[in-house]
Amino acid sequence: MTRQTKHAPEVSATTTDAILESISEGVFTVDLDWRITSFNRAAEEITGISRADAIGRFCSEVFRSNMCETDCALRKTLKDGKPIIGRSGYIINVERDRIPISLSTAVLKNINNQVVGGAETFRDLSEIETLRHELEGRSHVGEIVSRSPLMQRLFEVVPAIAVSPSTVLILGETGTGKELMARTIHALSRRSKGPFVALNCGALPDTLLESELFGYKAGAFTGATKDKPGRFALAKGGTLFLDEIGDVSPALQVRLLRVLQEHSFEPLGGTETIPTDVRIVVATNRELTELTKNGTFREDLYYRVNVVRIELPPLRRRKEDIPLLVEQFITKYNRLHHATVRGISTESLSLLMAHEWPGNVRELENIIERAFVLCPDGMIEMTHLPDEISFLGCRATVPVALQDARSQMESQAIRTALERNGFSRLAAARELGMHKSTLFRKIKQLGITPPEKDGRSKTKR
Amino acid sequence: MTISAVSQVVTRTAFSFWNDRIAPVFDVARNLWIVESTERGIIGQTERHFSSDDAQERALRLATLQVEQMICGAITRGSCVL
Repeated sequence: MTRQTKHAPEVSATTTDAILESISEGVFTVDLDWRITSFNRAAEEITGISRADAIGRFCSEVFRSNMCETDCALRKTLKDGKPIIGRSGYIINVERDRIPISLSTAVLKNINNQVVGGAETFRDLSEIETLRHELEGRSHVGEIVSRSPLMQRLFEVVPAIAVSPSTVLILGETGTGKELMARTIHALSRRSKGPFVALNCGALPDTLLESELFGYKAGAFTGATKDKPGRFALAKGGTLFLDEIGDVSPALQVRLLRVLQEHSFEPLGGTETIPTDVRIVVATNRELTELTKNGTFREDLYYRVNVVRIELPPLRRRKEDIPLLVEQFITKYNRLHHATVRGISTESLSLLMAHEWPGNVRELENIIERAFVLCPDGMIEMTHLPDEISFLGCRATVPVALQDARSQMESQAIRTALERNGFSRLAAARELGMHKSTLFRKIKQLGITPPEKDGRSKTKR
Repeated sequence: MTISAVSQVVTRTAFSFWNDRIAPVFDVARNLWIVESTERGIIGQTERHFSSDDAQERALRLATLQVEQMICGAITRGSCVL
């Protein structure tokens, strides 16, 4: 057996310089007074500062990172002798652009093993960040975030709907974000600089609603001592959002219809007709078609408001959005409550995924807000979730509950995939990334009952 | 007793500092040294602090402190606009 000898090639200073000049990572070294002693080509490119200007200056004056003042990685490395790898931050380049970076540090020693300074290497992450933002951009419109295919289809049409002047009808269960969608439409519209005025039609009695909508003139009724503009007038140049339109009385429906048809209104007690200059967005969680059938909602008004229709899916049909929404709410409440919650545990997230969410996104937000009261830092655990989420009565048998949670999650994912693929088991299996025989086994095991005909069946004529 | 009615224009200048030097990055600087001066020279100095890294809150803080000039190290374009 021959033994191979490993040769360690001698590396000259010139070779080291050539290597440092050829790499795309910025590298600089400092002495023990924090003054820069070397600065490679990539460091020049990333910072925009020339080597001649950098050498001899304090590293913080050249590097200009968000970490310099409070959390200097090199200072830590020189203190404890341990290198730091891949810490994220940003620097400000000579153009005053914020450049996201990832940096690593090391101690520099001389041939006598004495510490003579430190070395810092850093990588420009701008391109990666741009790509990340592009990906994030696809998952939100305005403040609405979603990766669900159902919502993605909406995201594609919302910008076009927003710039059109047409009346929009938003349908969706309570808590699905109807007002948020209305605000998004307003924000993306040509009226975005105008006001966004919202009114919940279900919250006010008829007479009050009428005066709120159209305003009144002084003397119109007892107590009307001076003119009061209505919401139509206040929303001039902007958007008027009428929530719970399905709850408006038949008498007021007639007045609303007139305004929508004639684009003008008269304040209570007034004689002058005022032209409207508003974009109307209405919403309801009720079945307007049913209401028109039973005569509660005027058919002509229904057709007048149902010009462009947006249907917001309930959260149970877009459960893949739960992790994204949880992350969004954690960021929101960390900011609002000055808290430092890092995230949610896998077990807690599994429970959230298994819940049916009758209250939709609003219910989810409330649960996260509640968790912040019990858990101002660290991770949101199962104990921070309310009983209706964490399986009431199953606390003593957590492993069983977890098993249930997993089964429910699987069941939900399979049902959604089947629905989305027209009950084609083959397509659903492909979407779920499993073999069709595994899907069949799981369908049987979880007791899922798809319709008799699946995606392969042809409709009989 | 005579009371001088001559009013002098007071300028407030803030320096973001760290380790007895100008702080490298204003966006995350914690300390401010505020100098009040007139044509005759410095009339007062005081130290103030930022409690947040939020650009808008920092801009508001400077406005509240009636700072007219700011001397700092690097500053991102976004913060500079505010």
